[in-house]
Amino acid sequence: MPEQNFSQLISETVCTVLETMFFTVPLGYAESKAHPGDMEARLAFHGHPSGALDVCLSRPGARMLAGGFLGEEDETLTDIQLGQVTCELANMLCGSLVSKLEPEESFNLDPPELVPVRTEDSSERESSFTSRQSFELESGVLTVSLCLEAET
Amino acid sequence: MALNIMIVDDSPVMRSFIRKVVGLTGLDVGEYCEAGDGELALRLLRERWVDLILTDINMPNMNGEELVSWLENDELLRSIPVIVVSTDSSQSRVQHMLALGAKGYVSKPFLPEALRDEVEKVLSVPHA
Amino acid sequence: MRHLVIGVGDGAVSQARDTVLVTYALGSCVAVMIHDPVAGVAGMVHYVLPESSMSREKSAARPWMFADTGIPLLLRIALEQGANKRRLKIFAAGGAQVMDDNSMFNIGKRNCLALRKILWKFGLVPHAEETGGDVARTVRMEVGTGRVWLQAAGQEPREMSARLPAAQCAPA
Repeated sequence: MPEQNFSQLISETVCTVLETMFFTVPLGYAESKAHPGDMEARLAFHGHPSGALDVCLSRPGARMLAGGFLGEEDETLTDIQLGQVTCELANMLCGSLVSKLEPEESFNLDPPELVPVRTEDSSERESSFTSRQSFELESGVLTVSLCLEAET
Repeated sequence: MALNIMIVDDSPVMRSFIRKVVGLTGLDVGEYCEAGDGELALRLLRERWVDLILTDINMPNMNGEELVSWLENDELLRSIPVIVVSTDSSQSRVQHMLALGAKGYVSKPFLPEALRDEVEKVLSVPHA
Repeated sequence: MRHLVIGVGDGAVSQARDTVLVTYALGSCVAVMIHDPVAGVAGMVHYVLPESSMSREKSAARPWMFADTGIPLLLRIALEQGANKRRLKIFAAGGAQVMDDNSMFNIGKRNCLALRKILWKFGLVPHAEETGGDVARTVRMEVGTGRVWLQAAGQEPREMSARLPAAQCAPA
């Protein structure tokens, strides 16, 4: 699949997931730049293809999304809740994306994990393809990175 | 009569979301029982009765597929209706889980009322 | 029947059985209507924008104008007048994409999402919704019966029906 189609797939998936369970949608595209204090979650998926999805949320964005998801006032949320919601967002984005990639395939998803924020781009594994999109939210920025493993 | 509801998902915030959705049904809920994986769910089921189980698939230790299989093979526990709530929306997975014994299936992401409707359908709650 | 017109950025709650709450020309704005059939309380808000943080001065003076102040205000007044949150029927209409707003995130859509977000904070979802599209709408709610009629531009009026779970039905 060409890169621009992956980008479109990511955009569509982000819009659907955010609208359905977080009651918001992106305001537009943004520049991808991680900052200390951001929340980042990653999970691997296994199937045909296999790969990983990475989600990086600026802290205001994490707070806003968590408030919407949990139906709570943003200011009352703990860092633990922000982390858990970031992980669940990554889980849902990943599941939706891989379902769109291969609708007839079943995938196994590893549990999402919070990871230290990478403020510079570094590739940890051999991958056949990476697509990254950043979105401006009502508060903050969301960056989604899809990494596909080379099929052996 | 109050119903006891079990929610099985490794995400605490998703369990909160699902609990809130069950609240939309207006059902009289006695107790919510939560587990982060299938293994814990089964341990809890030995201690208390529940009237409905909502379970994810992808979980550590025992996943939702193994849990549903276990329940279906237990003479007593197989009568508890199970709704699967999962990111996997492939037809093959849906059909497989229903064949294993699940009574309902909702794919994430979902509108709150979609899961509410599935709970009501599985519990045969009549509508206005 | 007495008609009580709810203007743009306005709202009201009533228990007068002979009254019909009506609001006109919902474009990107959203009307939220609530009714408790047991307490006989009905309310309507016609809000314009999703968030009061967009204009703090206005939100203090005109709380009905924004979803995040108007909807909680509507619910609060209704509860003060005897409504029960669990018995409420909730209708919503509007949130159309008007003019040439092809941005990823047009105001009509934002208003619709704000509705759901704020209701979710209260553990509620709308029971009937006619939102989106690109037509202006007019809605009427009978205070006495809770029945809602919607008319989209160029179409005949029709009743919006709320699908309620049995646990929320009023006792016979």
